[in-house]
Amino acid sequence: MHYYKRRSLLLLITNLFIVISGYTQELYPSSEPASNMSSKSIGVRLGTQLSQGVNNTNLLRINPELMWGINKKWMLHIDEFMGNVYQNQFDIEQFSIYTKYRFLSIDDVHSHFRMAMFGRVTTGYNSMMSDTMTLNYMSGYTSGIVITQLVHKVAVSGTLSYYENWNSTGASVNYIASAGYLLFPRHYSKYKQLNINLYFELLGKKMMTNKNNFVDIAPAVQFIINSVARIDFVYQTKISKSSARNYNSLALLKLEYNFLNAY
Amino acid sequence: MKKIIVGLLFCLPIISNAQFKKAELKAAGLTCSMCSRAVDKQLQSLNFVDSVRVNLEEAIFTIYFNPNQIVAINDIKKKVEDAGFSVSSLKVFYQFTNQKVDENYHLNYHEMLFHFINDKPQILDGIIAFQIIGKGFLADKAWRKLESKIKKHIHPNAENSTEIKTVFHALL
Repeated sequence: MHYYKRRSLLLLITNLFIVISGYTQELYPSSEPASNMSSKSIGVRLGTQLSQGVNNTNLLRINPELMWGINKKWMLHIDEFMGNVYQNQFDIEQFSIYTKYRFLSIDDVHSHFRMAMFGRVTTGYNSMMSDTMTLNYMSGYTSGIVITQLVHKVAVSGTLSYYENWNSTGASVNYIASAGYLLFPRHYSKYKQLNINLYFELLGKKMMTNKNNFVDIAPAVQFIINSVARIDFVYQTKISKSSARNYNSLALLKLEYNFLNAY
Repeated sequence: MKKIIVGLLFCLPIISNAQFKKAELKAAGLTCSMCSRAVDKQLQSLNFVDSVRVNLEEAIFTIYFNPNQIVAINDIKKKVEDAGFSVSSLKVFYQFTNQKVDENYHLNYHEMLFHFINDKPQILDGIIAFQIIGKGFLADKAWRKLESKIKKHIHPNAENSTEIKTVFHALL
């Protein structure tokens, strides 16, 4: 019964998003769309994640990220994680390389459909399989596929990926559903206009080892400044019953700046 | 030799007049001002582009060309695709001088040849806009509808010419 109630609620939320979205954005704060960044562009990102550990300790995670649009189909991210989420003292946790290849792009005047595949390799001090909902950010490798569909300015995105840690002791299937809504401006007139976007993302993970299923929701508000800078505020919290989590919810601040045609 | 020089001198005003003035490009797949800015920056990186004006609401870019620079039509398309999007329409504005355009006429411009697919012959004088018709210059669906019709219009001599590197179809 609970399962059906939860499912109906999710369907309702998804439908609401589709109905109310006049304009939609696909610059998702908690996932990547199938679209790529502009060729020869460089982006820098800084993520600051705050959460409360299960034993009431404050957990902090800092994540600087460098992004590079190699060409119209390929992009590459290199990032580093520092924090005290997986150890008692604040220290470097891991490094990661992410690459995405857009292999299908069908554009029409009022719609587009894009598909991309991606891979992430993460290495560092933490190779334990954590059930915490930090999708794709654990030590190991992830490969997956992302599909983004835009019809009459309603954009939805779905991500499916498989993660395995280095010593093959843990694996999971990750899935993300994302939707975004442009709150302001109602009409675009210039690049300097402040854009305010609302996002709703559903992040899920099915553990292959113990078959546990974890589902989080991640609503977010995003500000776009001068059409090159981004500020994202994300609140991520669990909606599925689970044990063995490092934390139940987190607040995330992401700052991003893009250098278009940087070289 | 003299004849050639005199001939060239006569041609000069025609050459400097014979050029693209501007273009109106509508992009497909744009969803945000960040995306438009990326397209804008890509277009501005072309050496024959003087400036770009944008209508963000409609995703229409008006591209002003540098005078006396060769306008490479394919490069415009490439830059929009480099930004991650595509062209849904490209209208170019060209300076004509009392030119009769019928089924035998081709506009020959720096290794590019424009074949007009209009049914009725017309006399063109002044700055006239025409739309580029072809794969990558129209939205995918629109191109698929037109593709079979367009193939009938391909001019065999034009395609085989060694001086012509690209053949475009144009619609007034």
